[in-house]
Amino acid sequence: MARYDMLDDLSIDLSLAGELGFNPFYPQTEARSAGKVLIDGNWYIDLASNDYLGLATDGRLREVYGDAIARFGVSLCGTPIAAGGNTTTAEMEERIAAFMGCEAAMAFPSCYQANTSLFSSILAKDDLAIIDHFAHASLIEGVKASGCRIMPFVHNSGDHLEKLLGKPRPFRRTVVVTESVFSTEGSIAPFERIAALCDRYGALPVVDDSHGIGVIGRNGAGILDHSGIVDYNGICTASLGKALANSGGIIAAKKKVIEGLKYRCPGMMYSTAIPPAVAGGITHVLDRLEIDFGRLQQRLLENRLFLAAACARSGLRLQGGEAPIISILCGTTRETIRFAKRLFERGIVATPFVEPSVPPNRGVVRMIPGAGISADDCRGAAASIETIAS
Amino acid sequence: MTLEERVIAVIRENSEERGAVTPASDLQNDLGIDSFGRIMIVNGIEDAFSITVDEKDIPAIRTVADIVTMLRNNYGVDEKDVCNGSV
Repeated sequence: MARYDMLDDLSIDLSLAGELGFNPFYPQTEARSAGKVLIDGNWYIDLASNDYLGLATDGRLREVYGDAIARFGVSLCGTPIAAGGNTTTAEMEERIAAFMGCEAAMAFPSCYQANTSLFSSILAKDDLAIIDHFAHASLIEGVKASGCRIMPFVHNSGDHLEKLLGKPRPFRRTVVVTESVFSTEGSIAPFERIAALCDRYGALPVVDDSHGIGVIGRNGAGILDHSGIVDYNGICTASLGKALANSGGIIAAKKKVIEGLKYRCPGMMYSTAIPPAVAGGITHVLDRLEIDFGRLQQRLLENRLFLAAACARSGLRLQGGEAPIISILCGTTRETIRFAKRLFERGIVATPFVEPSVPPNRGVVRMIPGAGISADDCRGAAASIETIAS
Repeated sequence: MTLEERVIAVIRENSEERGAVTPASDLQNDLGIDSFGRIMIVNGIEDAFSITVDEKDIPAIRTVADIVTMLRNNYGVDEKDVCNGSV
């Protein structure tokens, strides 16, 4: 293939966005305040971000960042294994491991990087990954990159998982991979059963708790607490840029596993360490959750109930889910983007998911009505949704 | 149970599909099965019929009937195997 043909192959057809006069992807935020974003000079109700608890614009969090920057500068400009290690990040890793119900943790620049790096470090071609069909792209890409055999299991089906685990197979290691809260629909994995099946069949459970940490479990501790699991014999990963309102990712597990991964995970060893200010910010949010989680979670759940009721009144089809995520089933890519456009025209930003992020013709528009959304804005969003649906 | 019925049962066991599945059903367009879901069904077919599907056979699978044809023509599976309970 000639180079110029290759360059054409690498381009993408955005004609649908042109035809609809709206591209919902890569919006450019000019400023952000509690529950709102400024785009093209106009303020929009923010139902698109993952700021579940509304802490990302918190005033004290900004001060914590300032203090850490005064001490370390904005970056240590080094990898964790060399010049990037620091006491603020080490303290955060210790705190978050205990918070999640694990012995130790290690920070990454993102959870996507944590997931893709993890599987290449623990799996090879002689191994098997049994993975939930609807698992996040980072988990799928991670297991693919490892070269192992992949067997998806029916979404959240413990019965199907048991069937796959129960059949003798000639693999060295078997891992079972899932999310805690599924980000496009808000369903919660039956993780107590999944972990028990892993124990019974000698598999290693790996759960991505990105949309569970800070959202489910006591004080937002996440999936292990939510599932009543103690002394967890598996691996958790999580984003630190959602309910925890900062950025980066984490892998948490038994101390011996984390110590091993620190010398095996190239995605951590050879990436510039997360800035100490970010680590300090995460520790601050963990402190806040001990005090405020109940109040913030209540607000989050009230917002979710209010908007979900408006959608139901309007006859919109919602994907079932227990988590504070509202996913409106729209159908084709065109219908999905058109619905997101109508929301945008009425001052709401939400997130459309279209193929290949979801199965064909099963596009959804996701709304996360975080605790930072005011009651007035929630009422306004509900009224807009009802108008659009009518 | 015919081979077609057995294949449809395997597809139901190995997908989220709860609607009608017929031999003419197109996996992607009618059943909404994505590429990862297709792997799940192929794994289910392998387990159910104790075969290993050659990767070269997978792109030709569009409909349920294509799976039945593949099993008959490429793997020697027929109604007899289903009726005598060997699969």
